[in-house]
Amino acid sequence: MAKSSAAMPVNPHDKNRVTWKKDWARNKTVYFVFIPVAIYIIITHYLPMFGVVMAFQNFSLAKGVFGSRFVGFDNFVELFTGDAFLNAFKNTAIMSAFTLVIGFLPGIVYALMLSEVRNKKFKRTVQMISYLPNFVAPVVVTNLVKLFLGNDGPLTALLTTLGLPQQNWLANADPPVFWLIHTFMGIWQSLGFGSIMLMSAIAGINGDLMEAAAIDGATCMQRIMKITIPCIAPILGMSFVLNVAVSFRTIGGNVLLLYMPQTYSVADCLYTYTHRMAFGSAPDMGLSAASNLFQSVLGTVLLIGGNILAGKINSDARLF
Amino acid sequence: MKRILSWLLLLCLLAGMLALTGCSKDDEKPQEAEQNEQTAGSPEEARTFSYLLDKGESTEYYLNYEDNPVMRYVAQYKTFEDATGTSQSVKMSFQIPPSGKELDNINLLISTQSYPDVMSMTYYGGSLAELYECGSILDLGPYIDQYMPNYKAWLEKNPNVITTTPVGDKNMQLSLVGIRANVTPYDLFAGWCYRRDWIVRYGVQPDTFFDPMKDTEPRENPRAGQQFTGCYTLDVNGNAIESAVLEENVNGDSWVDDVVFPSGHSDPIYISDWEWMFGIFEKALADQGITDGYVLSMYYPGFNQNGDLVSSFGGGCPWIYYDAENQEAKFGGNTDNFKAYLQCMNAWWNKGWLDKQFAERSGDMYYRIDDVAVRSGKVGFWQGSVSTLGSRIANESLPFTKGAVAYGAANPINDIYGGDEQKLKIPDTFYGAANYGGGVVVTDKAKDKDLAILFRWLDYFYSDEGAMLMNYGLNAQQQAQLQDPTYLKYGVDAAYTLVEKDGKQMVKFHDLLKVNDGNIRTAMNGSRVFGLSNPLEIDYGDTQTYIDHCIGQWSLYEPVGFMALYPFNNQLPAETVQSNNKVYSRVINEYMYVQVPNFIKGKKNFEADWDTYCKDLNKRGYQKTVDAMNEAIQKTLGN
Repeated sequence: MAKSSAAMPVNPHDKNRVTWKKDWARNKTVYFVFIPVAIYIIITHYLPMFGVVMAFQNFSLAKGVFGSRFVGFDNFVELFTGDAFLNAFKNTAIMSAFTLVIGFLPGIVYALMLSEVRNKKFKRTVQMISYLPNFVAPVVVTNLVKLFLGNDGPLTALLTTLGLPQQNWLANADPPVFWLIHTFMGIWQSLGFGSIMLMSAIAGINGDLMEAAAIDGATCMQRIMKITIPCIAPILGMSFVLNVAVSFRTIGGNVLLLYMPQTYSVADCLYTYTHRMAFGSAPDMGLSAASNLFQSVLGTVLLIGGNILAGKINSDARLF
Repeated sequence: MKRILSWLLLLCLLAGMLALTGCSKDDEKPQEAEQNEQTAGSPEEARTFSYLLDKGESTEYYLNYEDNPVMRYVAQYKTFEDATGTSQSVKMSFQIPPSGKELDNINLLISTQSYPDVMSMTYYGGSLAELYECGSILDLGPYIDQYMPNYKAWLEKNPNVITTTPVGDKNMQLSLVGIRANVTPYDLFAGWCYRRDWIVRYGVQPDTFFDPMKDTEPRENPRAGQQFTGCYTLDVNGNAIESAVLEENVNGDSWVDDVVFPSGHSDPIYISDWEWMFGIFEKALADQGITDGYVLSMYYPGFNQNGDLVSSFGGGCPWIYYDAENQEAKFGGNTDNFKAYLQCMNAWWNKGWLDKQFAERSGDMYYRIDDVAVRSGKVGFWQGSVSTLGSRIANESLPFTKGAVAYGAANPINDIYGGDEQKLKIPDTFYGAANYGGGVVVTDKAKDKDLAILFRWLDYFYSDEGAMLMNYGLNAQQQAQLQDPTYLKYGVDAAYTLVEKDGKQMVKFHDLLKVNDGNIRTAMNGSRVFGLSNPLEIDYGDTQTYIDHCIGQWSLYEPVGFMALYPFNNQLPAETVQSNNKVYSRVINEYMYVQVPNFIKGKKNFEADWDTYCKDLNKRGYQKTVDAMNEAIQKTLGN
């Protein structure tokens, strides 16, 4: 009996068969290896969560978390009744939508196009070039954008020759100028690097399928539409869910370096608002913490919602 | 084998982690250890202190402020009595915040309790009372009485100056303020500047003269339409020259001309004078083919909350100012005066006189004016420091700066915009220098050290000898003794000499230090620490008349409305300081910075949008701050 049991493959997720003790005995090396990781996550990700207390305090730098006065939901009342926060929320939603709708597609198209290139040398060179912007520091990228779109920048000069008025485009508060600049800057930065996952997914598609379709007379476009895209759909779905979830947290890193009071109406987002409240000329840590907590809760809701939505479209696309 | 490998891997991982933890512990040790070990009690440690300054010097001069010539001299040659009555030297180390991050730095130090023994509070927006209540800073009163005779003497001589902070029912000395023995116009760091040479080169005599505060009707100008004349009278070496057209190797401070403004004065007094001048600057730009220049470089984002220029339109400033006549604080961001100011700016914007990007220069330094364009000679009028006056912007590689002569101008008197209440009123609120300001605190980190020697060291800079060192640097004898490498590098044998002028003893700087270009003078003296400023007057030699005239224009009127000149802020309770910061952020940073440029650029209409703007401002709670300030004013006046 014991012999046959040992020979049977054990499903580690089968709770009826494997107790925690047995699992520990069998995999304790793995658990030992995981301990430092768990400690790291607890220390750097969970313990700081205690800081959310600040969102419910009239926080004073001198008094700290334990000495500051508890004010309940006052910071949230101030947050939701102030027009700056609502404007930031609106802009975050719009910029997230722009990034998801306009920013998601070029990566797919780029990966599909590159997967059709047969000359390996050319393919690798193009890939390498497209990865580079991802390794350029955001502060350098934003400075380049400032130079190119400034009053005398080369892109401004190009747009002026096309009949648009000469101006510092980053100071233009008319929608959707800033939103487009932000979206295209993001595309330029992440196009190559973001396509790595898709490229590997495409590379994993069984070559026989493509060969058979080609023999049957399918055109290149038909092969992409009928084979490639369905095959990478789970990856696309998962990537989309992740993008939705993190969009409310990531929109703003570049904006912080690009925006100015003149463009608050279109550029100020939750990230920049939170940062400004914490590190502006008159810091209000309580309000900043409230804004940040709201951002986190919203991100979590979006992650769960996006995951459910992705699962409904394609069950393999669910992240959890 | 697999199992052995796994265990080996695990051991490596753990060893790696321990090593990393060990490294990080070592890295953190100096800070932690310094804090704790300093309190340990060896005599030398008890005399070792740290001091947070507002600003350091360029690395061109030295890397650390401990290498400042004055600090080196004090460390090597001055001794102070310690708690046991023995004369000892003090080892002071200095911390300098990263430029532009002063506020973040001090907030970080306070929130992490990693502050030094002595700390300048210039950039701290919070409440001193709160820091005291938390035990972070000491009550300096007893120490001032016991160890600071020079500082105490000044306080006793100036009983009207309030340097205390209310904590509960008591008024406490929580900070040591910087004191100015003489408040001179030179303490103004900046003012309006304009290209006087452009008026001579591109302007002509006005047709008539009319001073709206003196004349009843215009007077004919007998020289109407004639060219102005102007010339330099000295070369760079101070030798007299005759040629009026010589533009190279000249001393811009020696410029003389016959410029007369439409008000009949040789300096611009009224807004109408400014507009006449702007017309000439427009022509100057066109004639020189400067397409990327403009007439007026405005401060970002179109107004200055201190009140400069805004105050010209009936007084006050766009934030809180002191109405000296009625002895009360007022908010000026929604007044008719500010509206008249904005209407004037809007008119100038429509005429194309303003820097088109005035509201976009959020990252530039110094009121975010366009310093690059100014120093390229492409701007006619700007707010700048002494370093842009005379021919100081002249640069051989920049053609439009050739022969540049910049004069100082006073805040103007409005005679055009708004109603009677806004016209012909003397400006009363703008940046001004007070006879005391700023402050340093001594923190709880120093309480177990030798406080007697620390306070005596701090007091030294309020003494006559210490103040001379701090303000003017090393004299010949001191430099001969110290042989300071920075002085040697720049060939300065003495930073100053004492001269007798008009029966007074005055300071005459070494030629290299006459103008504080690149902060060279500041690098040679010790003025980054707090103490007694301006113990003597300064003789500026051949540039005296010129500089006096320019700075005289900047200080033509008294900034009686400028709140920072009064001690009211020190009297505010902790909660009020926090509340005021919030209101300031909501009113100025979050609202006016966004809306005001729209009025100037014409994107908002004065008829249709002004009332909404005022209502929105009211909602942001400035009245609470005004009331708090008035309460402090009444309390102060009552005292």
